[in-house]
Amino acid sequence: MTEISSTVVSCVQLLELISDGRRRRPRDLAEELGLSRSSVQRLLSTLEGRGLLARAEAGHVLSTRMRVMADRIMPALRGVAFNAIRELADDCRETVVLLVDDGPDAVVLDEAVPTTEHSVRARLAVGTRQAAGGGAAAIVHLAHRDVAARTRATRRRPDLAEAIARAREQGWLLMRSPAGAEVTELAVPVLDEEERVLASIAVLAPTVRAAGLERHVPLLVSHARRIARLHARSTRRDDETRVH
Amino acid sequence: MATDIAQTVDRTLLALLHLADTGPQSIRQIAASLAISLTAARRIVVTLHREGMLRRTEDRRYDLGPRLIRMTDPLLARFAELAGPSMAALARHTGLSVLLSAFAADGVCVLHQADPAPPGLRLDYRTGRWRPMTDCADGLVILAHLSGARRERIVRDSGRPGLPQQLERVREQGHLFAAGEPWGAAALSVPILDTRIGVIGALTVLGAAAEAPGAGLLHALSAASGEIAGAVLRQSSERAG
Repeated sequence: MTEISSTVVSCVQLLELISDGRRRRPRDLAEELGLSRSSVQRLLSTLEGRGLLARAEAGHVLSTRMRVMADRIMPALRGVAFNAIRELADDCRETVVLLVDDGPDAVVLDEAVPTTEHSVRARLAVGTRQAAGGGAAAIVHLAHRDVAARTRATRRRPDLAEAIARAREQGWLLMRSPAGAEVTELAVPVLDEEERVLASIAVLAPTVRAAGLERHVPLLVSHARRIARLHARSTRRDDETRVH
Repeated sequence: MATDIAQTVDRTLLALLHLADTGPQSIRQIAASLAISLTAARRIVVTLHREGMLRRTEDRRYDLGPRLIRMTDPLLARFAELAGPSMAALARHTGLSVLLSAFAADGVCVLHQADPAPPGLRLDYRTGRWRPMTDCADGLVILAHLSGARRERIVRDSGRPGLPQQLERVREQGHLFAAGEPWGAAALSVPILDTRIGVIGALTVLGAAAEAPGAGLLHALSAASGEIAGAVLRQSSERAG
């Protein structure tokens, strides 16, 4: 097992704190992170020196360079899915998330929150990781992996076998979130031409509002196909140009 | 000890910057590019992955993780906030609607619209809507000023013949006038250029007439774009990385 670097963890925590836009003095940052003021100063000056932080009036802010870096994350998939999941969120009147593989898990790549009159909405922040079997989307990903991966997962968690089988058979999965919150998820895979999971899209609703959520399955499936088609078109063009 | 902290943080940042340039890499490749031991690279990468700053691909390589997107999302709102006063002044001065756009995932999004007062009949853009860069004047202006490799990939993916030449003209002229935007209006766009990292957005004026814009309008638009770039620069006195 590789050892975790506490310095790297502090660096990420510092970036997260600064990302909220509230200006803090190094002393405040040190207090919130539980670090010495000199350690925080060192982190700040290294981040600033590499151009990832900028010094602003009364504190620091993330630099534009950070945004430019972030924008390079799976741009083709995010681009083709951007409007699709926002339209879906408005049509379903619930939050919709786009997830991609992250090792054996799935991670949220984009989140679309509808403009509705509901006072309570389910949320799953971008960057949140769903462990294998930790939610409908992660199970949908697992259901479309090879036999060896599915066997490994069910050996560890025999209780997942039934949900995986259901996701494979139906092509979608509806379940209460095992994460503890009173949220129900409806997930469908975005499959490429070889039936491999490119991503998944999931509707998240507070369980009290989730009755009949499966009526959105045809809409989800059609948006998933649209995303896969547009993505294939852009990557195919890319491949063709490389060949010529 | 102090040197250790600074060195680890610096290596961590170099790993992130390297992945932003290259795309997915194995731990061995990251170690080689940073000229550090495999053990040191593994420790940094595994920690960054655990913290959500990296994502592991199917072939066990590592790429930047979506947590970085969430962290930097507020920067877009801040960009719109900084641009607001210059945009409002330009809308008042020209009597035209003004749009601020930023690039997002190989496309472009309108972040903010400023309208002249009283607004009257106008085209109202849906902010936050994604469009391909090659479909609109603001996108083409941004694309023309993007760094080489990224621009080339988007141009290649678009499959549009003649696009490289069109982008070359945009770079030479420093603006783009498009009379035939899909919704029938005319748009005049200029890039917003950050002197340290290049293009960060586009500023556009919208008009109903399909006639070429006068030099006065172009001058006012370019001046507003310069003001916005200056405001971004002032709020962050970044040192070059």
